[in-house]
Amino acid sequence: MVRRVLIVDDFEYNLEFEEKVIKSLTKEGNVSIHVDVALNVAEALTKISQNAVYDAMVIDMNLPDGSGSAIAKEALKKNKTTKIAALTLYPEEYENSHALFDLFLRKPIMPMDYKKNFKQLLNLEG
Amino acid sequence: MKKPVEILHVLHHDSCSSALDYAALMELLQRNFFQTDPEHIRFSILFIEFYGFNQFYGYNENLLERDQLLISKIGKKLSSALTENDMLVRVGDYQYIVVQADIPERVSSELARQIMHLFSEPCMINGDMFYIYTSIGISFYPDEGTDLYALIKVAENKMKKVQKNGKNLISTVQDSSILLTERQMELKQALPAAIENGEIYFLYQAQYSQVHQRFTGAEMLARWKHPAYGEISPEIFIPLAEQNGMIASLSIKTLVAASKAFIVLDHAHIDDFSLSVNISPVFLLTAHFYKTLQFLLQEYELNERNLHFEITEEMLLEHTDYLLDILHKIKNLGICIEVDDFGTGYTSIRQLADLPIDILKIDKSFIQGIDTDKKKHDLLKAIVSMAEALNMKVIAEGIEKQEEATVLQQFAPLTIQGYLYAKPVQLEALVEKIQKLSAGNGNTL
Repeated sequence: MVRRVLIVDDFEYNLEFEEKVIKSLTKEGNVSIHVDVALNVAEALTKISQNAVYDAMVIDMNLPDGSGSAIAKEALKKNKTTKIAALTLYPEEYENSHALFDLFLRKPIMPMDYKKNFKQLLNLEG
Repeated sequence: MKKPVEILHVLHHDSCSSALDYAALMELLQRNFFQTDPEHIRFSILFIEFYGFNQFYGYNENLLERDQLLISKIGKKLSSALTENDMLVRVGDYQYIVVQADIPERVSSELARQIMHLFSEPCMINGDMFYIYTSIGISFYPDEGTDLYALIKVAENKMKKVQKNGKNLISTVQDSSILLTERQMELKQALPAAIENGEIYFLYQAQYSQVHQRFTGAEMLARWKHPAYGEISPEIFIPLAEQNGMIASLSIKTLVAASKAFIVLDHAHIDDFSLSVNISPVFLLTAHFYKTLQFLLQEYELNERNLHFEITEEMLLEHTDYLLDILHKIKNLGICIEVDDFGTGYTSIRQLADLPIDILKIDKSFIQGIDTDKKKHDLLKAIVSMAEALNMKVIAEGIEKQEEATVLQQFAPLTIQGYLYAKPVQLEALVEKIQKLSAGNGNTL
């Protein structure tokens, strides 16, 4: 079964990094993950409206054209079961006040932590 | 310095309330050093908490044994900062109270700074490196109260307050003096965003091989251009990054930048060119280091590249089995290991021979003035001979004068890094310089 995920970040460095971590996860296990990327809120909303249901999303909270929360709201409107992680320099600012997110990831991204959290988000074994 | 009055156990072990037995503590205070008239009693209370040990470690190890060793090490280290007039009480797993009697306020602040300094170095336990953060709050009798319970609470609250503001801080009542300057604190807090948004960038200082008569590599040097303060020296921000754990992210960013630089060099047809990356011991000795490295090598296709890691000679002094193991693993991945600032530490020949080292980078203090200082000349000659015997290459750092380069040529053809041949420059300028030299138009900068 192919899982479909959306990652949103305004730094291409991060998008590439996240894609590579997810790719390494695909290589390791019996899971196939299709990754869509978006650089801002507008692009992300377009992807959500155009594409089929996403299994998971990792969204940078601080985007040039708005907050990651706007993306999460839209995603959950389309599909309540989409698992969503917020990516931010300051997760403690969001952790207690946000019902939109399943997980809060700290920037800068550390590959092993990201991998572990991503597995948790997609409910993957191991 | 005589030993302090030391009570290295938890006074009152109440796991539910973590409450201190204040009556017992007061009794100890009276008995141990309050000989003077109660009206003239002056003392200060330092409430110290150590934390941050698990930052880089998983939880599947033998925590009990590790914690016991860590607590024992902390206790010994803490005692070494105190005198017989001080009293040390362990009041929680990693919480201590120091009581200093009959001393002026600044002396307590000084002691707090001294303790902070003592714990600025990581602790090694069974080959694992533990970075310990320290927060200290200080209260004063009788200025802030005459009730012992209240005074301890004041000191504890201050400790908690500074802990919220950042790690490794001290707070006293009167002047809120802190160990780190406000600027350093600000920089430390700004580091994650700086790594994230590209304020930290890399320069490349080329290395010239006298054997090949061309540039054969470059060292990558991290730089930080702060939007308000301009260029921040790596001597300032690297230690800050090591303190708050950002060094791992910074190292990862450097390796990713190296992968991009190799692609640029490939496109410019610059082959057989190495990039040297400084690897902090704090990153190297973390539990995830090797897996992270494997990930970067595979996903960023660094495997086949001429990647060199620079580690400091100082680090070799922590000559543990774990370090040896990780260095061998790095070498087995095809990465060349360089010892940076060689000559500034005290590595023995025996140690060097046991380690999988490929290159010695001789510190500039041995090079500068080599044309006029006979002692330096002879010393360098000996180092080069030793390196040859150990089958290691040598890079001479900090060459600024032609006379120094000329003297170096007499020893053996070496690789040279210094302003005489190349200053640290952006990648584009590096490529241009290499191409100019290979086209026969090259000259030293």
